[in-house]
Amino acid sequence: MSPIVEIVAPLALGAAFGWLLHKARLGRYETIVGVFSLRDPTVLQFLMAALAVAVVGVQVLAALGVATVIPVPRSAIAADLVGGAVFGAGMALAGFCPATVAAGAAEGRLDHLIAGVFGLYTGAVVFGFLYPSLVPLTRVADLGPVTASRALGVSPWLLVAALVEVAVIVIWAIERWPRGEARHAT
Amino acid sequence: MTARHVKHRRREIAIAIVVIIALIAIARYAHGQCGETPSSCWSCHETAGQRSVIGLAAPWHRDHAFADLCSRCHGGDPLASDERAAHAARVEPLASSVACASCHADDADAKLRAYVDQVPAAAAVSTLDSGGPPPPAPPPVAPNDPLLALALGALGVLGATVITIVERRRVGAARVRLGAIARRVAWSPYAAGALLGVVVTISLAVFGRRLSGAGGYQSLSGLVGRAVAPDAPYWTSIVRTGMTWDVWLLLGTFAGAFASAAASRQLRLRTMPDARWIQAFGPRVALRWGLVFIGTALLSIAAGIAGGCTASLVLSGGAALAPGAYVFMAAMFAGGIPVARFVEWRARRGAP
Repeated sequence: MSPIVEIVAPLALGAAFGWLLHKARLGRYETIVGVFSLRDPTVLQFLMAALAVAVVGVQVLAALGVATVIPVPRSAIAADLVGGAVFGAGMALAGFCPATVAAGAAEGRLDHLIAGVFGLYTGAVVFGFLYPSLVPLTRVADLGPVTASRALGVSPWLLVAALVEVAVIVIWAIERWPRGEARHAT
Repeated sequence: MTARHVKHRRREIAIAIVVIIALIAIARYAHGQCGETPSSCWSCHETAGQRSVIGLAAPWHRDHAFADLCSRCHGGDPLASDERAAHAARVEPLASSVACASCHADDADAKLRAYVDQVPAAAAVSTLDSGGPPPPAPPPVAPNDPLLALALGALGVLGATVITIVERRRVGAARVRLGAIARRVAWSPYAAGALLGVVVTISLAVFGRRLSGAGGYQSLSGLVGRAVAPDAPYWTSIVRTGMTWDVWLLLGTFAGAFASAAASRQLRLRTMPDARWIQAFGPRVALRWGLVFIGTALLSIAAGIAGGCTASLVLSGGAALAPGAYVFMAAMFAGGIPVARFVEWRARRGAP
């Protein structure tokens, strides 16, 4: 990839990402903490729709042979469990994740733009120093950069269909859930 | 539920079924997937204990045992589970400084010489294979077709057109201006999410990169990290520092979010979140900012441990069917729900 693509492409992808995060109202503390207290389904609606589309899109492009290299993150189960739990706690406390901080900052929320960005940066530096002592944790139940279909030995399409179905069921359940009570806080 | 809703839902279900059948009809296995820190070397040699090298006296193994770096020096195919396939392209790292230079660009020769000087002592207890041809560089990964970006861009325009038409029907207006949609304060989370799914697909399939939030901070952490600790392995050989893809992505995310907030005229300076926080924790700005700082520092550390955040692990990893993405998502709710319940409890009880 040419150097210009290496700059323009991430800027464009990021701009679309940030725009959509803000339009989904993910820059608000209430939205994020609401998904964890089961009051506001916005984050789940957003995530399920995005996952369902992306999982199908990636698999279709890979099947058509146009996408040759799909980056698969490593699945270190113990690290994912520990990291996920701490991540969820931090997210419910702050009211945003490392990307949605932009959506809050964009509305002029200085607790996002100053305290949040500074905290995220500090955490990244601290992690760099902790890295050697955290490596053993990433070795526990480490499956490597494997896809679930390869790990289970089944066709990825089976998992794609299952995932889309889960997303549809979750969305269906959200839509059936009585509203009103959930909105009174805003 | 009105009759109109039922009719809509039936049509949506019918469309979903057709799409799923079409997908299964053209099913083929995804191929050539690659990871970032591959470790089938580690799972056989160390985890399964088949010829562990970490305990040997050879200093180069001990020195590099802090991460899955085997294939950086030894080559081979760290994704292959079959021993022969994994070892096919293996190289002898001590034969040349090419392998060292992939991380230690400035002093690769010196690093190699320091190790070579110790070979006689180390070889006495080492069971390293020797010989073989000098190392070929590991094969570069074939980039994805950039023309695909154009095709997908056209697809995106098509999708936007469809959304506009649907929106026009819904509103009943003869013409819906895109500007009006852009100015709207909030979009349906389904619409925004589905469009983000397209963005994730393009990022993964066209550019072979994960969408990420935490990655940008990790790249930038080298600014401070390298200054304070020049030898810390994290910044010398694990994370790419400087203006990486992820940093530009993060800057783009801020730009896009500001554009959206500006379009819907929501840009207004404020130091506190809206009602809920104040109900739970009171109006003190210092408390909010302090807890945000702690919470976000935890976020970054947790993203480092898990190897990703909501965007790079849950969304991008989930789209690539990585099992860890779903483990992380479940753990995220397990960690977030107690905190949120605590906030709710404080809010009900009334702030001090």
